[in-house]
Amino acid sequence: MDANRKSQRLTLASVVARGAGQVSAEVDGETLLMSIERGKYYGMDSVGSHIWALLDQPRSVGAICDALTASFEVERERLEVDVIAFLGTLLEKDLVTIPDEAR
Amino acid sequence: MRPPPISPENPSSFHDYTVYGLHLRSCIELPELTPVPVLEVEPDLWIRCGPVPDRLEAARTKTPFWQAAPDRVLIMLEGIARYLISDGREIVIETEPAATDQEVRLFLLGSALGAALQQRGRLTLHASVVIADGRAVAFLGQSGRGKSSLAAALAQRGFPVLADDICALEMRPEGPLVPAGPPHFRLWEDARQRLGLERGARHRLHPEEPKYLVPMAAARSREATPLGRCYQLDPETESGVEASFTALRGREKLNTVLANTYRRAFFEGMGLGASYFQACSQLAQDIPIYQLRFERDLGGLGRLAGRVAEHLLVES
Repeated sequence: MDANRKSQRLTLASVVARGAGQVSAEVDGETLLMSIERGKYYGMDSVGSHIWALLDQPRSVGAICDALTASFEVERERLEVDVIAFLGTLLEKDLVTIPDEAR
Repeated sequence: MRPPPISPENPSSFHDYTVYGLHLRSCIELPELTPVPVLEVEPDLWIRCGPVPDRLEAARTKTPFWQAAPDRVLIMLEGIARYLISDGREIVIETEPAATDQEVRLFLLGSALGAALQQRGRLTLHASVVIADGRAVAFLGQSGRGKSSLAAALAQRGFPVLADDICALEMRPEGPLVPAGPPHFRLWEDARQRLGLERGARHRLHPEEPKYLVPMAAARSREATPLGRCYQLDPETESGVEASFTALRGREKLNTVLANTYRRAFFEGMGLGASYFQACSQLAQDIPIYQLRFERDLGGLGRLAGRVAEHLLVES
C-alpha cells in the first residue's frame, strides 16, 4: 500500500509543507482542497481544517501536534498516530510535500 | 481570420442579440434570443460559420466529444456540427449536411455558449433564477430536478424571472451578479399544461423529447441583479413529503456549488481550475444556500411555490 509507505516516512521530526498543485478554500471553518493537476476535490473535517491552517508555513509534525494539543483535548499518543495518518493521506495525493526529502 | 466588421451597406447578413449581459453578433438567425438593433460597434461575441478543425493543437484535455486548450474549446458532435470557441470572443460553427438548424442551435446555445461564458470569467451554473425583493434567488439543480417548473410557478405568483436552466454569474468584488438569460422557460409538456402556459412559435427543444420553449413574456426581467441566495433542489419520490428548508454550511455549501456547475469539465480542461474553484468558494462564503426537499409531484407545484414564496419573505 503506497499510502502506508508514504506515511511510514513521516516522523515527528518531518517538516511538512503544502503542495504546489493545490488551492484551498474555507467555508464556515471547514476546508476544501482542490488538486489542480488531478481535478479532484477533498473535503476536511474541523480537525483536518485546523491542521491545514497550521500548514500556512512549513511545520514539523511534532509542532502540529503541539498546537493541536493546545486546542483539542486528546491523548497525545493517539493524536500523533492520527496526525501522521492524515498527513500521510495528503502526501499520497501530493497535497503536501516533505521539502527536505527532495534535497 | 476575423470576420469583417459590419458594414452599413450590408446589415442584413448579421443578426445581433443580447444574452447574459453580452452583445452577440451571429451569422445565423437565433430565434431563441432577444434581438437588438445591429449596431456599428464591435460585439462581445461573434458567432460565425466557417471551417473548424477536428482536433485542437496543444489540447490539455481530450474526450470523444470535446477537447480543451487554454482559452479554446472544440466541441465535436457527429452528424450535427463542430464548434470552436476561442477567447470568449468567437464561436465558429461548421455544420454537417444532415444537421437541422434546431440541433445546431441547441448545442450552440448550450455547451458552446457555456464555454464562451467561462472563457470570459463567468461562473456557469445549472440554475433558474427569479428576483425577490430586489435580490436574485437561484434554484440549483441538474436537469430533471424541477427548477424550470418551480421558476415558472413563482413567475405566476409575481416574481420576475432572470434566467432558466443556465445562469452565468459575473463574479464582482461586491458579490455575484446574475445577468438575464434567454427569454423563455424550458418546460416538459406536462408541466407546461399544468401551469397553463402557451408554447412559443418555435418551441420544440429536442426532436425526441417533449420539452418546449415557453416564452417568459411579461414575467421576464432584463435587469442584471445581485445574487441574494440559492436553493438546492432535492425532489423526493416518496409521497407525502412536506417541503422543508435546511441551511447548508461549510463544505456542503461548496460541494453544492461544484456539483451544480454547468460544464465543469471545461473549466478544468482549459486550465481554469484554480480560478473556477476560487469563484465557487467566494460564492459559498458569501451567499446563503438552502437545501429544499420536496415531493416530486406536479399536482403539488402551486403549493410548493407558495412555501418557497413564504420562505423568501420570512428568512431574510
